[in-house]
Parts: sequence; C-alpha cells; structure tokens
Amino acid sequence: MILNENESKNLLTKILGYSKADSVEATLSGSNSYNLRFARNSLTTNGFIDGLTLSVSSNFGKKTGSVSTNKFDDESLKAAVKNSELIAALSPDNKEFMPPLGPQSYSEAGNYSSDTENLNSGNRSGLVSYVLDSALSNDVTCAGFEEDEVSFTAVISSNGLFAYNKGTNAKFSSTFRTKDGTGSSRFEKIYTDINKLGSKKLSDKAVIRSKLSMNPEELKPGRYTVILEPSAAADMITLCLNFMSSRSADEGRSFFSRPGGGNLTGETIAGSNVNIYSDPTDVNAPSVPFSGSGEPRNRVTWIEKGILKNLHRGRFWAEKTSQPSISYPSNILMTGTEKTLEEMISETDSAILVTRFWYIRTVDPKTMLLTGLTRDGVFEIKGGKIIRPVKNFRFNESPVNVLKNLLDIGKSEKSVGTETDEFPIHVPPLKVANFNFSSLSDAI
Amino acid sequence: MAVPGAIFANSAGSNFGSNLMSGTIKTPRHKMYDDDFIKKMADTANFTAKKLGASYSDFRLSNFRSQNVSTREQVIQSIRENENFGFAVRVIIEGTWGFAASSTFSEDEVSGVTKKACEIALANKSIQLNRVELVSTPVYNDSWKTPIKKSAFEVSIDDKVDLLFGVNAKAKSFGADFCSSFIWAVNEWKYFASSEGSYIKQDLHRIWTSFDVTVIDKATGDFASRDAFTAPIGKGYEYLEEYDYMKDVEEAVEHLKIKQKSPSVEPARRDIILDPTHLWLTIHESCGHPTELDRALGYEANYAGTSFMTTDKLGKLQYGSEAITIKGDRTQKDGLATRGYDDDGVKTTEWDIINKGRFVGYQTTREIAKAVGEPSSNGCAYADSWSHFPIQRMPNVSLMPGEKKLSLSDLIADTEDGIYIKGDGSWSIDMQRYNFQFTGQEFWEIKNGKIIGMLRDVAYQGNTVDLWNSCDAVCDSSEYKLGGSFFCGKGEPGQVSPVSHGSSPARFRNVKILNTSKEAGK
Repeated sequence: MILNENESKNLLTKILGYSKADSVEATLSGSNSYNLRFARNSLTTNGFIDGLTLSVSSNFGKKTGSVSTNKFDDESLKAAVKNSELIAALSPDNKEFMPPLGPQSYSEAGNYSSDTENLNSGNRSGLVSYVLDSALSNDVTCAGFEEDEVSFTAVISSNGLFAYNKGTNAKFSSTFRTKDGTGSSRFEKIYTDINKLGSKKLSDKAVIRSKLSMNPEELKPGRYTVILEPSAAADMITLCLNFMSSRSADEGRSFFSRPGGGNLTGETIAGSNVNIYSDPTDVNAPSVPFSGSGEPRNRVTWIEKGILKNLHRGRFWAEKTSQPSISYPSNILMTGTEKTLEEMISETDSAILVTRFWYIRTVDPKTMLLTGLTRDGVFEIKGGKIIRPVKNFRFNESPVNVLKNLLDIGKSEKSVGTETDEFPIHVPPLKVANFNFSSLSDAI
Repeated sequence: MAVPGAIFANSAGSNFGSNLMSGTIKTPRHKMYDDDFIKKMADTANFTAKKLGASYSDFRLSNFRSQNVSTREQVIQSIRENENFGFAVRVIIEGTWGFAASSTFSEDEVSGVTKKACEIALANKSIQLNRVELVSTPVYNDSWKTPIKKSAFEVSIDDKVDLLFGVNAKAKSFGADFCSSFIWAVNEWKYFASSEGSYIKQDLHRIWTSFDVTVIDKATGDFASRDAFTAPIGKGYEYLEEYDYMKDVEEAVEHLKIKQKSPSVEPARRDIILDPTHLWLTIHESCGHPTELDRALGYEANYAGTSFMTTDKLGKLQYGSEAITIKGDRTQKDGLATRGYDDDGVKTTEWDIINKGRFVGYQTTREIAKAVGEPSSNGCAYADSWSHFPIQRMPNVSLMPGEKKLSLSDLIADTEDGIYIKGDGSWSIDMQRYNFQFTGQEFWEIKNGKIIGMLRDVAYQGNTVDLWNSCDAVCDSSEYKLGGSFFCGKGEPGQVSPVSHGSSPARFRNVKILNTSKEAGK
C-alpha cells in the first residue's frame, strides 16, 4: 500500500498522539510489488504483494522498546504504541542511547518514476515474452525474474523530525544456459525508471555470450591479471562498505584499525586512480536521501585518489569520538573513464575476463580476504581478443588488493553484484593484476 | 550490572522489579479471529477461485511473530517485537499459477485478492509453456504444534537481558575485549485450506541464541572472534535453560587466547574430523542444496543455481562412501524444518536421500514430484511469509550416526595426522555444488591419536563427491547433535527458511587444507 506524504504525516502524527513516552520515533513503510518468475523457458511463479508496516520505538529516559505491526485500525495502532512503551519500561538504560532527531533538511530525491509505478500486466509479460521467445528461437534455456515495485518510507519523531520518500525499482534478470549444459550467461539490471532497462539488447548479448562460453577449457589456478566486468567489480567495491565501520576500526577489530589505536583515515590504501563515493542525488544511482532514523544522507567521499577519506559512523560513536556522524550509505559510485569494456580487452595482452561472481563470503576480516566463484562466463584474453572460454574458478582475494593492483578502469555503469541485492551501484569494469584464483570448479 | 554466575537472577542494575513481564503481544493477531470466521474466509477464496475458472486453489493465512533481544557488553542494542499477519491465495487456471496476497483480512479483501490472483493467472497463461499439474495428496482436517515446554514469548524480557548480560560479563571477566549476544524467538502460525477440502492449522516455534566474543592482542593488533556453539533449534525457551552457556563462553575466551598464539597451518592434504557444530553446514551446502529437485530441474538457474545431482544420476551416483546415509526428515525431533504439513498441505515424512553412499532421493513438492516419477510429494513446499509463493525448500537433512560404537575420543585416538574442526566459519560453494571452501572456528591439531594444540588460518577446499567418498568413519549416536540456520536463502523474490542438520563427528581422509593468511598474500 502506498500512502502519499500528507497521508503518511497524518497517520504518523496520529500515532505520536497515542504516545505517553518521553520521546518516540515511528516509521511507516509500504510497497506494491509485482513479479514474474520463469525457468525452463516457461513461467513458473508470479505474484502481487501489497504490504504496509509500522515500526514504533518509544523511549523513557534512556530506555527504549520497539514494536512493528502491519495492522492499522485505531485499536491496533494504540496497542503497538503501548506495547513499545511496555517494552521500554521493562528495559534497562541503554548507555548508548541517542535521542530521536529533530527537524532535518534533505536533498531532493530522484528515485521515483511514474512509468515504473504504472507498469501493467501486458508490459510485464511483454518484457518476459521477448526473453522466452529469444531463448526458444536460439535453442537455449532461460530462467529469470522480473519485479517492479513502488514503495515509500516515512519517518517521524516527537522531536519534530519528518521525512518522506517514495521510490520505484524495476528489476529484470535472465540466465541463458545452452542445451548441452556447458555454457551459461546472464544479465541483470535494476533501475528507478523501467525505460532504462534496455532488456532486449541485454538479452540478445547474453544469448550470444552463452554460446561463446560453451565447452570451457581448464586453465591452471594461480594469480592472473583479470578484467572484472561491472557486476564483478560491483561486489568487490560494495562489500568494502561492510568493513568500513569507524567504531570497529577504532576498537581495533577491523582491517581499517591503525596499529596502536585509531583508524586508517588519511592513509593511502588504494591506487591513485581510485575514487569512490556515495551520493543519493547522483542521477546514475538515485537512492533514499535519509537513513532509517531520518538522518540526512549527503555526498560522502570514501576513497579519493587512493586515500581513505571517511568511514561510516553512527551517532553515538560520532559523539563519543567528537567526529561527524556518517550514516551507512544508500548507494555507492566509483569514478570511471570513457573507455569501453571492448577497448579494455583490445588493449590487453593476457588476462582472464570475469563476467560475475557467486557466493562471496568473508574468510578473514583482518585482511578482508573474500572467497567466492566466477559464474556465467569466464574467458581467456590473448593479444587483445577473447580467445576461448575457460572453466570457473574459486578465488581467494581481498578487495583491498583489487584496489591496490588496478591497472586500468573503464566506463562506469549501473551495476548489480551477486551479493548486493538492490543497493544502487555505479561502477566501471576494472583491470586488476595478480588476482588469486585458488582452484577450479566444474560448475556451469 | 549483572555478575558472572547470576544469569537467571534479576541483576541489581537492571531495575525491573518483581513485575516480570514477557513479550507484550498478549493476543497474537490470529487469535482475534475465531475458527469459523477463518474457515469462512478460506471457503470464500476457494469458492471465488472456482467460480472464476480455477482448477485448484488454496488459501493460506499466516501470522509471523518474533521477539529479538540484542546486547553488547552491558548495553542493550535493541529489544524488538514484530508481528506480521496476512493471507495469500494461489490459483491454477488453465495450467498457470496466479498468486496474490494482502495484509488486510476482510471478506471483501479476500474476494478481491482471489480475483487478482485469477487475473494474474489469465494474463500470464500465454507465456506458460509447461502446464502446472499437481500430484495428488490426501485431504486433511488437522492441527499441529511444535512440542515446546516453555514459550519464549512468555519468559520475561528481564530474564533474557539478565542471561545475556551475564554471558557478556563472563566473557569480559575472562579477558575478552568485546562480547555481544542475542536471543531471537519466532512463532509462525499458519492456516491452510485447499479447494480439495483440506483444513490445516499449525503453530510452529523456534529459537536462536548466540554470542560473539572478540579478543584483541594489544601488542600485535591481531584480533580473533568466536561465536557460541549453540544451535538455532525447534524448541521453546527450555533450550536456553538446558544449554551450558557459561561453560561455552569461558571456553570461547580461553580458546581464542590459545588460538592467537598458535602456529599458522601449513597448506597440505590432511585428515579432518568435522564436529557437528561444523558438519551441519557442510551437509547443508553439499547435500541439502544439490538434492533439491527444483534446482536439479532448473527452476533456480537464475539465482541459487542448478545441481550436479541431475535426475539421470538418481539411483546411480555413488555420492559418498558406505558410511554415509543421509535422510530428509520434516518430522525430526527439535528440527527447524519440522512440522505436521507443508505449505502444499502435504503430510510430512522422512526418507533416504543418500543410502550407504548411493544417491536415492530428492526433495519434492506437489508441482515437481512427477518429474522424477514420484506419485506423491515428500512435503517440501514452504513460504517464509504470507506474501510469498511457496517454493521447494529444504527439510531437515541429517547424516545418520555410525552403527558401530565409536566416540569422538575413539575417533581422535584412531587418527594419526589430522585436524579436528569445531564451529562454522566462512562457507562458499559453487552454483552446481561441486567446489566448496569452508573454514571453522576452532582447529585442533591431532598427532598420533592425540590433540596436541590449536592451529590458525585453516580452510579446507574440495569437491563434494570426493569429500563424501573420503569419509571412512562416523561416530555413533551418543555424539549426535543438531546444527542449523534460521536463514537458508533461495528464490526470487528472496525467501529464507529455517532448517536443521544433525550429525555425529565424522572423519574425512586426505582433504586439501589451505592457509588463509597465505591466500591473502601475507
């Protein structure tokens, strides 16, 4: 269910009116979401989900209790507020309590498209039927997922805060596997505006790639120069954020901890060509301009010319360390060049081209060592050309090494990693030296 | 502040007084509607669907309640209660599914959502190449409840906070730098009614509690962490009262200090003994997932992947050694996936997936069972919310204990050169479930039948079939334990499911050991 700004404010104001707590925060979030899922060249499941949720956090002094519910009659709303107060009353003082925020000002959001909100069943099945037809006519097997959603978030506090955002997401992905089971390719895109998907072109390219990836040959595991396509680069760059907590670094339990105390802010941690930032107003990756507690999200530079500029920092830790609060971001962008992926390949003597990764997990937080696998197309490049498909690899590598060992950067594009869900990402393909492939996988 | 050893008493600083109170949701939302009204709504959905041309329909009303208490040292991180209530209608029209869901529970909404599900089915039938056909199931009119002794929702919040503060304080008192801990209780109530005449009510409970201890070596800046060896489990609050939390946290700190001074492992091929606190995850990833029939058929090709255990290998593949028998079981005692009926309304059961090393069974639902010639489903349909379509999800998948008497001590005594691995660490496996890499939390070196100390930086890597065929011993039932997860992920839109995996310690020969520090280029 979607409530507009006035409806949200009226409902949340009514909820505040039920409160007997010293202070209270309430968040409304709702969505209308349609999806179509297909596999084996046919529709499998589909659905329409209409959801609305209220979360209330009540505070007595430094005691806090939180409740969420999806029932919205007056009695249930009163009960939700009362229950949160009961929990707060039963709770011990939170020594790290921060009072709810007061009025804030936010950047103008650009994460809504009326065309996405107004998509109809015909549009949806049209998107999917092109892919299905393409798979059938090219004798490959496809599986995929289309989802379009309009959602809103509204936050209020008894200290005068009110924030509202309505956004849309159009998401489309498809995997094409060759009938002999030796080739696979995939595309995935997520945009605010459905018109940017360009799924026909992506689908055509993926069908060709699936055949190009057939019968991969073994290449010995080891350290290679790689070109990471944007999906693979998206994982490497975005997963860094999970390690970039200022508090963990200051407490000595992070890669970003400085030996002897403090953190690595100000140190060179990557090549001088690395510039990574977050900005909810950037048209290339629009996102919600406030955090879950209503804290404004503005442009934050994480790495500039290879130097670590900022770590994210919650309000309590910011106050304790007399540093600015920097909320966990709602998007990530890396500055690219004008060079296309094809140009990067043509300028490369010897490398492995990685389409995307799969099942990435942290092996060691001290070194930010990650493990995972390649998936949906790995190719050997020789003399500026793709010469053959090669088998999938397992990698053991740290994104820090990736950013240190950068040889070249391509043109940034909206990207989706395998571990990044719907987080808006705009990153370039990366050419990286000395990337560690640990073993081979027989998987296609 | 709570003091070590006083974990179930009210702590002096917590100021809760004697008015102990449990969760505040005194009347779960599903209890606001009587059985007759719920049945009337179910009948409305199924009648409306039939009138609109559905050959099959079902109505599923669910209420998901959870309570989460999280702490860090002597600080409350959050105390939160959630309740999420709604219903879904699933229809089949001309061999095409239609699905719609809503959180507004009224007769008009039930009719409207049913019509929407039918409209979606009709709109999509043109892209339905493979018609949906369900295998048959008997009709049931029944109810089922997780056999808990004490509902976590009826235990006071201050008792929970005291327990967690006690654990955190104990860790600090033994020299840990940080300790966080939590209790997470879930109650999943659901009502299912099909157009075929089944009416099934279920009340499912599960609980998960753990800590995370960190020790920092100030001299070197090195740090190490360990979680509790607890397991998320299909029990009530009694699990927390049975588990020796204080012993676990003491050992965690002590072993972290030992680990920090331990030698880094030399990469080599070694024998490994996997403890149930670790082995559950190896079973989950390398047997649970590849024997999901929907994956083998290609339904998950765009997301979770497919499976090397294709249908032509059923009954033929020597998946493991003769020591290996693995069962799928939705009736297993204390299992997270245990219930009376699945979300297709199929009565749950147990069956062999691997019998003496041979691959003999898949996990199925009513929609896909026929693909391997099965006349009925073994009850593996599950949706993690009223708003999600049920898909094939994993039952409890467990390694049967060895039949001969064999304790963990016996197995260690019988091992010349190996590593005994406890606790789950990092895990990753490819999209067809061949190549895996796992780490753990504690790595104990075995030489000539004895544990001689700890190792660090250990990971093991290999291929599923090679690993399970290298297993030459599984301890007996006296060593059997459950492990598991609340959050096995699959499907689009993404869904999670709770699942348990039982095992006794097992030995695997000649496995590739990596040094994770060297892998990072150190």
